Amino acid sequence: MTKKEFLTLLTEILELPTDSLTGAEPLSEVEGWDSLAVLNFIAMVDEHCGITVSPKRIVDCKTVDDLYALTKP
Amino acid sequence: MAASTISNVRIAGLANAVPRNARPTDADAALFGVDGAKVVANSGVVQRSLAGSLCASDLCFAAARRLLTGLDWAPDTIDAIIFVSQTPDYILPATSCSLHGRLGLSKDCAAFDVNLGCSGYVYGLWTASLLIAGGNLRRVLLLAGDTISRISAPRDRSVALLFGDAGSATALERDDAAAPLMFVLGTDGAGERALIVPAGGFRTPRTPETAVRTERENGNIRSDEDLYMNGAEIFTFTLRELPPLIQSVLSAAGWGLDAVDSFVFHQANLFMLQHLAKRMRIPLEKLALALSEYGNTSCASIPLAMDHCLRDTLRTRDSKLVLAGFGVGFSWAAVACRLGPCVIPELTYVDLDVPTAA
Repeated sequence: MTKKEFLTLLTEILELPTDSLTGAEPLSEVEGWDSLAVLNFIAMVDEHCGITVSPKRIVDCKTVDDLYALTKP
Repeated sequence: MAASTISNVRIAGLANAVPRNARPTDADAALFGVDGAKVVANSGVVQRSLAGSLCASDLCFAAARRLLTGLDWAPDTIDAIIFVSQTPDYILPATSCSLHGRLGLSKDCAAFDVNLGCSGYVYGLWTASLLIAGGNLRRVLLLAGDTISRISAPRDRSVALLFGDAGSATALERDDAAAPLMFVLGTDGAGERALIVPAGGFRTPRTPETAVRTERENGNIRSDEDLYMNGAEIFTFTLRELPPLIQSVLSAAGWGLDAVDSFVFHQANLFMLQHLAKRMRIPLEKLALALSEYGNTSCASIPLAMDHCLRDTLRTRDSKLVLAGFGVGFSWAAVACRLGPCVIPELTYVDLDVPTAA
């Protein structure tokens, strides 16, 4: 998945305007990033990348770019 | 995974009971503001029936009475009764013994409890079938029910809007012409902490401190005597284990996806079930869903979904079903079976102030 595709899917999950994320944003400041968004993120990575992400690794993520890194094998 | 094929056992009927106390989820979601509405959209739970002070045994008792009447089975023809629950009447004695008395069963009857939740119904079917196939019993009554709402903290949004209460009764009997039941079962004890009531057993006995509700992760408020659920851990466990489980049970039965009439999964939550169905390429019209009416009713959710979605079909004809339960433990189990025509009485509603003595 390209970073652009990733950011598009993530903004859909978070119900944010398209192109509103660049990747550098700290997750603590991203609106809508909560426990339900985590479930949606896990489902998205499972569906599009065939990877089951461990919730512990998501907790360790500081930025949107860190989440993107989890979509790579 | 452990695979087990059992012959000569027929599921003769099933019945369910819920408290006569349906509560719209929105009413409780308001406590959580905008987040509450998001939780409800995710879980798909529009209402659920709450037990108040009723016990799981009261719901199972009502279901069992109606089922025995519907089947015209005399109480003294039951050779064993199994009660599957995580919300028993007492720490001891076993609730199955108390239900044995309330139902007026004969003394020539075995009784025991099984402590399992999400996977409990399929484990119960497996155990009951084994008693008949291997133990030479003729008729076994399986009662599976829970009142998880009674251990869910109202201000913990991970559980407060999800769980409903229900009790089920399933009747199994020896039948040499019955199609075989194909079971696959598994366990991963590493999941112990993901879904747990930490205090109140003997590892961490109750104290005044364990009863105090305090603020935890994500602003959720609960005590150590309340249910804790880590939704993300459970979701990833399910993604990891359910597809291979379904594949194993289908291959044990020699069925393709097309051969199955209905998949009845533990009603965990709508988002999870829809994602899993998509992932396993199960058409949504083959997926039994009863979340919107009853919520997640723990070990009763599979029989309740069968009743809610398939009652008319199962009453009149033979269907190929895959039942699968997965969760607390972690524990999981699936069965591929041919079911019907069988007796399914109307759903029973139990009043909250019903006298609970026999």
